[in-house]
Amino acid sequence: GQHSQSLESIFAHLPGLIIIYPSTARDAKGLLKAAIRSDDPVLFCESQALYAVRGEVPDDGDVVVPIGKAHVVREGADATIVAWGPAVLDALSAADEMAGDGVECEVIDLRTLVPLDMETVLTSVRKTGRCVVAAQAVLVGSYVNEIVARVVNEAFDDLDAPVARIGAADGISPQPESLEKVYLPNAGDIAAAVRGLI
Amino acid sequence: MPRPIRMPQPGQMTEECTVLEWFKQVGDVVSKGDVLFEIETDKSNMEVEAFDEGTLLRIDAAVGSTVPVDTVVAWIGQPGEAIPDQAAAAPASAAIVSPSAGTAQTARSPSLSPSQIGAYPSHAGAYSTGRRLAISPRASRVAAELGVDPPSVTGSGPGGRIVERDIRAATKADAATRTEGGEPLSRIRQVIARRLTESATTIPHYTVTVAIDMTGLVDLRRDLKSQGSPITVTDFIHAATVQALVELPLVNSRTDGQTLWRREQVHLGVAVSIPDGLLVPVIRDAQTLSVAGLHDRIATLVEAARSGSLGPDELSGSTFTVSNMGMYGVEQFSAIINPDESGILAVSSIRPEPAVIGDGIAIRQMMRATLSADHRLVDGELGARFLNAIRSRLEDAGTFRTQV
Repeated sequence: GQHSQSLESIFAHLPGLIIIYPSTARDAKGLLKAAIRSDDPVLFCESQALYAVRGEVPDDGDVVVPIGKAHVVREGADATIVAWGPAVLDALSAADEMAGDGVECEVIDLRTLVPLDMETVLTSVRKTGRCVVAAQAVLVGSYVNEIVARVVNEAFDDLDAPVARIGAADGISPQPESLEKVYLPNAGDIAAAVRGLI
Repeated sequence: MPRPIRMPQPGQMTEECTVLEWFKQVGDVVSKGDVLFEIETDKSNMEVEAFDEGTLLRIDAAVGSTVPVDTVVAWIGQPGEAIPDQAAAAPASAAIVSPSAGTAQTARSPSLSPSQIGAYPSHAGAYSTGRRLAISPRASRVAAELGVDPPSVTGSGPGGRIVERDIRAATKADAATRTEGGEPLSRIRQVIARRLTESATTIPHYTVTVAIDMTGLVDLRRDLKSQGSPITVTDFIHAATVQALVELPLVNSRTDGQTLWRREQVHLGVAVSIPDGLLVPVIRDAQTLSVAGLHDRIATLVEAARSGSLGPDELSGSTFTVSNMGMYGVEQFSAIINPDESGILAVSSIRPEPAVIGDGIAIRQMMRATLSADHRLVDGELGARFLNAIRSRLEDAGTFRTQV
């Protein structure tokens, strides 16, 4: 349905806007505070798919999560998965699956799309040599490609394999849940992408 | 500090405008918003307002002048202030800086400088197989860092791509086979190594052996010695070889696989062992020397070889070589042909052996001689004929009895 058509890539293309896309309750609260306190125009994206996902939030009510700082959710030395929004949870599931095959994935939740924390991403890719960038947005024209391009240009000599991309099929998100499941990328797609890089 | 007033750029494509009229004169006080001058653009006329306050100090673009956009047309400031050198008033950039630009980060990625691109040697396409080497950038970098030669590595990545783990596995394997504490080879050894590797890898070798009955010559040698002659069995072997080369000059010639260089003059190389290796002094025009002559020449050359005083002329130009290991008690060996030659004769020890003579067995002084030959020029039949030419001369002691 409409609510799973991810449009953050269009927003990110407009210069001057700050684009935030948290994947956890803690980050949603902390980043919303940061967004309100910022004097810049901010588009704060919330995925409807994540509304039902529960998570721990600090007792201290005034914890602010910094804008423009990615978060390494899971450490690993064999492959880097960069993701945001619902794709972060898929990435973590994929990482668990790959761990069973002896491949340790590092999962980075970007949290802020603009400005982009490439330093965290590049540090990870230089370590692992392999990278998958994942989001739920339709892959064509997705902001995923911005990160892929930057990784290739800035860490070329550290890449042991091409950079893989994950996104939804090139179309409008279907209404029936069964079709939407096929349309959207999932943990299995991310795991397969990692496998293809080894 | 006087500030410049610049010709504006009214349209995206406008390059220059003409000043039509000045509404303020030098010395007039100017407030923000006052109309300063009027310009004619490519599309229409336009009034230019003042954004600065102060006194108009100087007009640089007079009425009627056409100036490029962004050029300084006038100066505004406090009365009496000195106007800076025109050269210092560099054109301002066209961008309008918004107050919050510092916090909203522009998404500009640092571009890779040309010296950074391709900093690591690209192995793709550099090899004679004609196929690009499939290797990941990371593996290329690691190979360069660790001194591993990528084409020697097998790739385990998708499509046989060489990836980092393959390079690291190769260095582990190298380290395992390498022995500790290597030292450089001496110059002469390196030369030997180079020349023999060249022969071994470019000349198609084959070998053929004959057993020669040297009994007659051993007896002759004994007789000569008792007469005070220094001539040895080796001299007879050299003489027989030279004569066989005269008889079968193709063995004395050489080829590169495409061209034949016929050689009639025999310049015999004699392998001499020296402490650090091997030298091959050359007896030039050996076919002109008698057995005694050969003996004297070799004696001189061997002496010079052992004292390290051989000149370059004496060490090059051989057409065929004899290598004698008879003094070492060896039964048989094959030698490696020297570069630019087509054969080498390996002479082993003379040893008493039982042999069939007529219907009986006798003890004879037997010696094996092995010819290694260049199969591009010397076929098996020619090689065998050559050896037999030597053998027949050596086994018929009468040959040499008349030559000494």
